Amino acid sequence: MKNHSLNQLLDERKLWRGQQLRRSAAASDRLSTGFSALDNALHTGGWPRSGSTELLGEYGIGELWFLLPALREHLADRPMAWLNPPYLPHAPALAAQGLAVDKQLLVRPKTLADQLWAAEELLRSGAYSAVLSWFNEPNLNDRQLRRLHIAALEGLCWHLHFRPASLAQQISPAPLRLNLCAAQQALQINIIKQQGGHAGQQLQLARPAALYLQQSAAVTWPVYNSVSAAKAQTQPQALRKINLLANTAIFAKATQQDSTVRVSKTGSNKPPH
Amino acid sequence: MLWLCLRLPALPLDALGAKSSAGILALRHNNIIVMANDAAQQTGIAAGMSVSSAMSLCSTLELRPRDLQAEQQYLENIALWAYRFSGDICLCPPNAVLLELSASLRLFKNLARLYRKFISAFRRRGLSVQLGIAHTPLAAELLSHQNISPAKLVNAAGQLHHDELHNALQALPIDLLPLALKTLNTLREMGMHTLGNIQDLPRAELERRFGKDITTALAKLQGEQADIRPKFAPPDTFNSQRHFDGGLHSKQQLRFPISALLSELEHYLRLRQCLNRDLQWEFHYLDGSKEAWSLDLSQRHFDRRSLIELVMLRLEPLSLQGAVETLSLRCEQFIGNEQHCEQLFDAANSNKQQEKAAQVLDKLKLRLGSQRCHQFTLQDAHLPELNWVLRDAHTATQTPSHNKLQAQATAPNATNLLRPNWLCHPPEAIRETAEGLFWQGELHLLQGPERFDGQWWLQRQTRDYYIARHQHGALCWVFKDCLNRRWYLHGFFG
Repeated sequence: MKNHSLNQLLDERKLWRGQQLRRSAAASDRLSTGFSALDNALHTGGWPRSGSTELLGEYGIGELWFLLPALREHLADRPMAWLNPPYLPHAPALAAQGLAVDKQLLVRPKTLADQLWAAEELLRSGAYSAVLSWFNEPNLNDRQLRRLHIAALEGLCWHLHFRPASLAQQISPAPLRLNLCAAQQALQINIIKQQGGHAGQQLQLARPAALYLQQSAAVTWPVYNSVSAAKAQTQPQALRKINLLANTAIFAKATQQDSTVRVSKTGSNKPPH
Repeated sequence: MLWLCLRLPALPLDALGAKSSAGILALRHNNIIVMANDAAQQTGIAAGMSVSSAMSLCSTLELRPRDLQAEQQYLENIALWAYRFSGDICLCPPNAVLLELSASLRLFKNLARLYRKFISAFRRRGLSVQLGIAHTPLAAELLSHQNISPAKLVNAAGQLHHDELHNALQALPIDLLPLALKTLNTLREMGMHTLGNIQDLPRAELERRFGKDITTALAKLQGEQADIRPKFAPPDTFNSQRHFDGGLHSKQQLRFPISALLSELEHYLRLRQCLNRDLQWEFHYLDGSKEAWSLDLSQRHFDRRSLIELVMLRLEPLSLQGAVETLSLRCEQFIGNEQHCEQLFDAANSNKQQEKAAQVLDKLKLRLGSQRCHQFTLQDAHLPELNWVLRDAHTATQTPSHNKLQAQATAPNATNLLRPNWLCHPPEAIRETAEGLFWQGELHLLQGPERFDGQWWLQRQTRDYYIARHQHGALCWVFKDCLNRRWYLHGFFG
């Protein structure tokens, strides 16, 4: 009897076996994330090709950077669309990283209703391989989220839904949800939810070191007055941080050309190079 | 040569769209009844009567003036419709159209099939039509008056039965010949009633007696002399309208006329092998006012169903000012149909994708406005906000080689430079305090500077760019404007 009811539940699709799902998902072609650590953490071994994927977090922590390998792959097939991004996608930088400029569409509807409509149209059209979306009102209800997810499935489109981290606790129909936050020189990814097994994996992807490197030696760096310099000495971990003050001029090249700029280090004046 | 003549005997009535009204109706022109519908004919009214005698026969008679312009227009529409069957069409005013069919027989395989198509199309529209088929245009024209079934004169392969044709021509009354009334009267007085009678006479004597006209007509009839007529060509712009008695009040009611107009347009485009770039609609309201609205298109294929959705979407924000009496559609911009060759593998697929993209883009532009849909273009400029532009999105295809060039041009100089993925435009001001820089939290400079100095020809911009780490871990691209000594946030390394 018990078995019977279990089968019934399975038939009604109220229950499913995670392992089955994992196998089926792995069998269908998946898209490598470009990072082996992330590929390993995802049960399907990569990004889904269609449907919603939620990315919760702030801007500027590498949230586009870690999508780039997958987006490059997508662009080879069909164009992608940006829907209402918070800032402008910087096309030259993206082009340098392999996202063809002419294969991107930027849509910025004003109202939430228009944004939802445009998102659904873009996702369902089948003409776009990926849609990156932000909404004026991040707290969408379940019905709206589900509609977007289904539209993405129908249009074979990867819907990347960017939302603030505060919504991590909320239920969402998206089968894959990642929480993104900045770590020391890396992007911290917490998998909140994923299909085909348990979630909760945490990993860090090291961001390009060039971003964190100093270009020039501290000697040639701009001025800091004695107060802040003393502060800097007391904080050895802050060796890369420099407080720049309002009334001081700044950079090395200028000091070479312009001798009137005073450069001081650890309290003592040093002649310009 | 095989000529088919389509003659619409009731054209003046059809042109007014009056066929359906079952009342007693007649058309007048200069106080003479020109044409009467079936109901009127039953009461004894016939063409040629004066208006007063017609009124005395039937007091409930409805009289309408004949509209010659509408008739001409109607005939041209018929010709346009017939253009799908043959490329060689001539108008024969007042009420006939000639088609040269020998070239079309191969396409339509079988004359009987073609013939059935004509009949069923006219029957569907409720028009009465008389057909005439012959080896010369003039003969076809004359035979169409007699409405002899083409099946008798021609076999399925398009070969004329010359004997039957000859007999049919011989039996034609001479009144039909395009000759002066005086000549016809004389001939009749001479006892000539059929064409056969005249043809038996020697040509030279006929010419001496009646002038050159009669011999020319006979020669054209027999095909001995070329009968050159101006060819019909589809008009350069598409223009069509639908008229509603009493007017339409809701947008939903407009859906069907819109669909009908679009299917008319579809046919027109197929004839001309081109694509329209605009749809110019106009409402004529009952009170006489007009409202025009238009729709720009960027699609590559005419797809009526998706176009209807698009038009309805465009209609949504409009509010009708009253009852719509006439809906007219005009298209003036056309481009040639792209002759795309299907490729076996991936290109066919990508064509479909582009088509889909064009469709969805049309929809988006329509609802959101074209200023809200953008594409990127790279430019050569020094300042980061100037080396690319947002342009209105459209689906022009760039040649792939061009894309490659573009990619190569930008790639080498960009790889070694750190540029943010996000750009704040316009740059946001950073607050500068004694503790450091603040923008929604503390900012710590990590590296820099990278100097941008340029645009001295407009307004000089000198900026020092730094990468800064935000309190929350985000990497920001900040710059100090060296001229006004202020700090700005210009991007994020997303």
